[in-house]
Amino acid sequence: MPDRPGFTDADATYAAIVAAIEAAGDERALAFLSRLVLLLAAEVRDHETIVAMLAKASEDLDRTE
Amino acid sequence: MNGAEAGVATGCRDRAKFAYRRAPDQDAATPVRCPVVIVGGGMVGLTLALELLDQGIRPVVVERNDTVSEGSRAICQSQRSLEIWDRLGAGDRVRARGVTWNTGKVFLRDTLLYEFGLLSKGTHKMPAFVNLQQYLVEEILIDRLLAQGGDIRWRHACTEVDGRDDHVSIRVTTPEGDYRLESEWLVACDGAGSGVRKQLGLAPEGEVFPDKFLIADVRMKASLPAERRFWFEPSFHSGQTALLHRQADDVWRIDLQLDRHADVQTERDPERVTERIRRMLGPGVEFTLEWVSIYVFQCRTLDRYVHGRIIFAGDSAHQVSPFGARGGNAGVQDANNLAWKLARVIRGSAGPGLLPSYEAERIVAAREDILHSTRATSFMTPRTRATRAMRDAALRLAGNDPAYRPLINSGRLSVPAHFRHSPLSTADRGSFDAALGPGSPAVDAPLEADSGSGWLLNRLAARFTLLVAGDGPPGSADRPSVAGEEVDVVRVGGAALRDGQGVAALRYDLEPGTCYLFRPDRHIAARSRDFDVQWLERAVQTALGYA
Repeated sequence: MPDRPGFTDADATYAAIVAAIEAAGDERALAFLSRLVLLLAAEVRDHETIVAMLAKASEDLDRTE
Repeated sequence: MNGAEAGVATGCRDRAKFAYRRAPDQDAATPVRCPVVIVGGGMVGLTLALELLDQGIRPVVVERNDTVSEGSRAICQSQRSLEIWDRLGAGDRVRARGVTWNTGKVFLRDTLLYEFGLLSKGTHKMPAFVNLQQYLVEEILIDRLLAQGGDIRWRHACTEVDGRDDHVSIRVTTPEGDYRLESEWLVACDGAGSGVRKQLGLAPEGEVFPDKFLIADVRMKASLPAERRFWFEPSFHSGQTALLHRQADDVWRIDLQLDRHADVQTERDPERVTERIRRMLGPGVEFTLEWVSIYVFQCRTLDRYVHGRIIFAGDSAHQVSPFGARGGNAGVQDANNLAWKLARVIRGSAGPGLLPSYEAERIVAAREDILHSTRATSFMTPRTRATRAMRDAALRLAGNDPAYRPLINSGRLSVPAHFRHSPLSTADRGSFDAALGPGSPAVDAPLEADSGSGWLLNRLAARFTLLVAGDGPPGSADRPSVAGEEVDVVRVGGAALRDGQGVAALRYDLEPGTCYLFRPDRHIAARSRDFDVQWLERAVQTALGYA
C-alpha cells in the first residue's frame, strides 16, 4: 500500500458515508455502494492495491459474519 | 463460438457444394500411410493444410460434409489472421471480399456511450479487422488449397482413431463404405463438438454460461456505416444486450441476449425472430432472415493439446464466447503455430522441445483468450443482483465521465498472444526499448525498395529469417545454414530496403546492426544489438527445441 497522510477527520468521513447510504435508501444502497467502490478505485488507480483491499475486506467478512 | 443449438437456415444463400470422390487410397490392398491427416475442412483445418503445403508437407484433409460452414459463424477476421492468410496467398482475397471496419460504438439504452477507432494509419498492410462470413473465408481457402494441389476429401468422415506408437490408424467412412488410412500424425480440427476428442474421452475444462443468445444473419440494404454497434439495455430489447455488425453481400450479424430461461424452440421460430429484429431495426426496414441460431457460451480448454500422435487445434481444443472475435482467429493462429513445428518433426530436424512448445504456447494463448472472453461475458450477463449493480454503476459512471470507459466491456477484441516465456525464445543480447520482444508476433511496417513500396511481413517467408538493420554484416546474399535450416537475411533501413517513415525502426527499436531472428510462424525468436554467428546458431537451435 502506498504511504498516505493520516486519515483526516475519520468520524466525519464515516458519518458522511452513512448519511449518503441512508439518503440512497435500502432499495438503492447496492447501486450506491457500487458507484462508490468504482469511484474510489478510480482514485486509487492501482490494481494491486485494490486487489489487496478486496482481499482484506473478504477476509474480514469471512471472519466476522 | 460454441455450444450452438442446431441453426436454422431460413433463406440462406446456396453454399458451395463439393462432390464426393473416391480416393485412390480406398482401393489400396493395405492402408496407405500419409504424413498428416487433418480431420475437418473448416477455417482452421484449411489454414493448417495450406501452412503444411507451404512447409513441403502434403496433408490429407477429411471432411464429413460436402459443403462449407452453415451460417456466418466467425465473422471478424483479425489482422493477424489476414496476415497469416496473406502469406498463404489468400489474404488479399479475404480483405477484398470482406467489409473493413475501423469504428466501434457502444450505446447505453439508445444513447452513444463512446466510440473507439482501430485505424492503423497506413502502417500495416492489413486492417485491424475485416468482416467476412466464415463460409466465404472457407470458399477462398478451398480455392487456394486446390490451386496448390491440396488433397481435401468431401464426405470422408473420420469415424475411428487409434493412436499407435509411430502412427495413427484411422477409419474413414464414405458413401461407398469404409476404408482405413494410416497417418504419422492426426490433427483434429473438427470443431467444438469434436468427434476425435470424444473418441479419446477428453473433456475441456472451464466455464459454461447459462445465458442464451440469439444470433441471426439478416440480409438488408441499409445505409448504416460499416461499424460495430453494441447496446447495453436498448429500448428495443429491454434489459439485455444487442450487437449489430455488417458482413459482406449486405448481410448483417445481429446478436441478441435472451433470458437464460428462454425456450430454444420458441425463440428460434422465424416469426418471433423477425418480430425482435423489426423492433431493433425500426419500421420500414426491409430484411430477410438468412440464418438463425440460439447459443450458449462456454469458455474452456483442454489441458493438453498433444495426445501421442493426435493433436488438437481450434475449437476442438478450446472454446470462447464470440464477443472479442477470439474463436476463429485463435484457431488460425493454432494452425500457424503448429505447421512449421510438425513439418520439422516429420523431417526429423526438430529438437525434443519443438512439438511440446505448440501446446505450451497455444495453451497460454487460449487461457488469455478465455480470460478476456469470460470477463466480457460476465460483464454483459451479470449473474447476481450485486454484480448487476456493479455493471450498471460502471455504465452510468462511464456515461458521465470518459475516465470510466475502460471499465466497459463489450468484448476485448482479438490480438495475437505474446509468448513471453516461450521455451523457443533466446534472451536479449543487448538492451531494447520496444514493446515487442522474444515470443512476440512480428508487427508490420511499410518499406520502400527501388521496385516500389512494400511491407515488412511480406519479406518474412515461411522459414527462419534474420532481419538486419542497416548495411552491416551479414550480407543479403548470404543465407546462413544453421542446424539444417537455411536462414533468410532481410536488411531493413539499408540502401536496398528503406524504412522511409521510420516505422520499423520505432516498432523494433532498430539501430544500425540490430538483428532480429524470426521463426517460420513470424514470431520473434531472438534479437541482438549486433550480428554474431554463434548467437545466431544458438538462437536457431533453441527455436528448434534443442535447448
